[in-house]
Amino acid sequence: MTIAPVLKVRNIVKEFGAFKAVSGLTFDAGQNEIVGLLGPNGAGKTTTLRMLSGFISATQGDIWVMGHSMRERSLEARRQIGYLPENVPLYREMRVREFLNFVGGIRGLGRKELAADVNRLLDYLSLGLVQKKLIGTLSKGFRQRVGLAQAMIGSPKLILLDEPTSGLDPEQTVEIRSLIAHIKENSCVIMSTHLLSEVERIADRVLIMNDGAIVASGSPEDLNHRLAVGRSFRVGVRGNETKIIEVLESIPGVISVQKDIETNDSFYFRVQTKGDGEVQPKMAVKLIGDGIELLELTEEDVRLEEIFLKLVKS
Amino acid sequence: MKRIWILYAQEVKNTFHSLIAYIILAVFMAISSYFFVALVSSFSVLSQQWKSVPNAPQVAFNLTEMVLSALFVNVACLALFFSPILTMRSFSEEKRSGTLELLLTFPIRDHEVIFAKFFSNLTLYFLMILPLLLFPFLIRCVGGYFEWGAVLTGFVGLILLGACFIACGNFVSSLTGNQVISSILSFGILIILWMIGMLETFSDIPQAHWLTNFSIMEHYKSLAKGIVDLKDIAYYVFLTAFFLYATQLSLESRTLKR
Repeated sequence: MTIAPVLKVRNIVKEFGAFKAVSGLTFDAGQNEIVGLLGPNGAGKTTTLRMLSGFISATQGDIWVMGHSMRERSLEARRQIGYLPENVPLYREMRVREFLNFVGGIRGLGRKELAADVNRLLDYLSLGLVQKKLIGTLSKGFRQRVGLAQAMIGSPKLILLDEPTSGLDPEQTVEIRSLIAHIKENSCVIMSTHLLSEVERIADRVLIMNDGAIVASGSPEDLNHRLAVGRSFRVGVRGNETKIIEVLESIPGVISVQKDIETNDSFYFRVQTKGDGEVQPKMAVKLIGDGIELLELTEEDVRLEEIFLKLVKS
Repeated sequence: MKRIWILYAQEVKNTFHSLIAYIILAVFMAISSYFFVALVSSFSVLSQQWKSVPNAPQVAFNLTEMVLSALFVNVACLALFFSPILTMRSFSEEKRSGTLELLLTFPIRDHEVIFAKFFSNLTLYFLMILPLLLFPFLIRCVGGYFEWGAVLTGFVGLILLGACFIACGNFVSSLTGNQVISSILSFGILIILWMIGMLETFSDIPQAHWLTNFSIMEHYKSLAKGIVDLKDIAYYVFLTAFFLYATQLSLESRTLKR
């Protein structure tokens, strides 16, 4: 028996007049999964999330949430969705508990169920102490938690988060990331971000978007493995700079040599090589044989960042 | 229906969280009271002067028409100025703060949001004009006579007129994220709808008389006198429905904008 995905997206296109913001997106997302939508500004991430949330309709294609078509049964589909738009828009004149009661009420929760769910979320997101405060008086970190709480009320199966850590300080960012990692225990989370470090840390799957289309998808490790060409080494040496560069470039398999850091008497280079396995010992032998003092020779992970830049530039 | 009620209740609550609602109610009441005092004074002076005229024919001065109907007409003009202030926040503030995106992704239909906001504004409008019913009581207390039927017709007409004002204001508010622009624009539309009734007086274009039929105030004149004409009621119902539908189209147009 196959389990139906929480979210099914088929060939959605969004056009604003002559401008095509999203072109032919197709993907599925399942329970207990965090999918990161990654892309530069203007890639179509927010437009995609707005279509997934039902705020705007797709020009072509359709979206199914727990089997409900967004085009034909939008209300039923939206019942299964919790959405936190970018910049966390909230009713600043409302108090935290009052706001959550309001959202839960609109979502159709009964009185007892609503009270229990609000209490659960206030506790889970550590909002108990501020539950009677006006949202407008809260710090950005707390407002972000309130935003998450409203998205989680009624335990929707699909939670959409648009740049959820944008504008937060490092401590708040870590807290919110850890909360998002826990949300997936009961839901499917789709989050957009332009921060590679964010998807690398918490996403199970990454969809890299550029110019409104998915240019690559897979787990962060999978993308690293599939899309990385060659290897990257950090080489720390002491000696004459010109000679070092000449020696490094003469080693078979070396593609490029870039100076990274220069201290008083030593240099650190980033050396890109082809994918063959013997290049590291060859490099060590050659450098030492030519009388260059070798301080460090370590292989670096080819980061998602490089894959991303490569994809976007191509 | 439950969703409309929840949003309506929250809207009303939010309205009364703000000082603006209380200021509007107080200022409106103060100006209406001034109109009432001025009309009663002028009625009293006129009737005294008439009595002092030698051999003047017996004329029954009608309190309902000279004071209460006139008061309703003046208050209707006043409401035209106040309504844009009542409605300017409706959608504009939600657009500005971004909460409209949140609200419209909740499991609630666009028309339910429109109705909830419309009725919450109409509630404030109703509370604004409700104290007007104190004036007939005051007249009764000092032994004056008036026709309750005419007064109630004028009052209900004021509600119908207000529904048009509110629907128009909500529509304009759905077009912009700026409250000031929203209030100025909706005031402008209402003024135009009022002024077309005056074209006949100022202009000799052949269509002037025909255009008077579309004036928002012309239709109130007979209601204020206590005359129920289905044509007037149909006009207000149609205009309100038209603006509510226009609001729906305006909200739906979000899907066309980046």
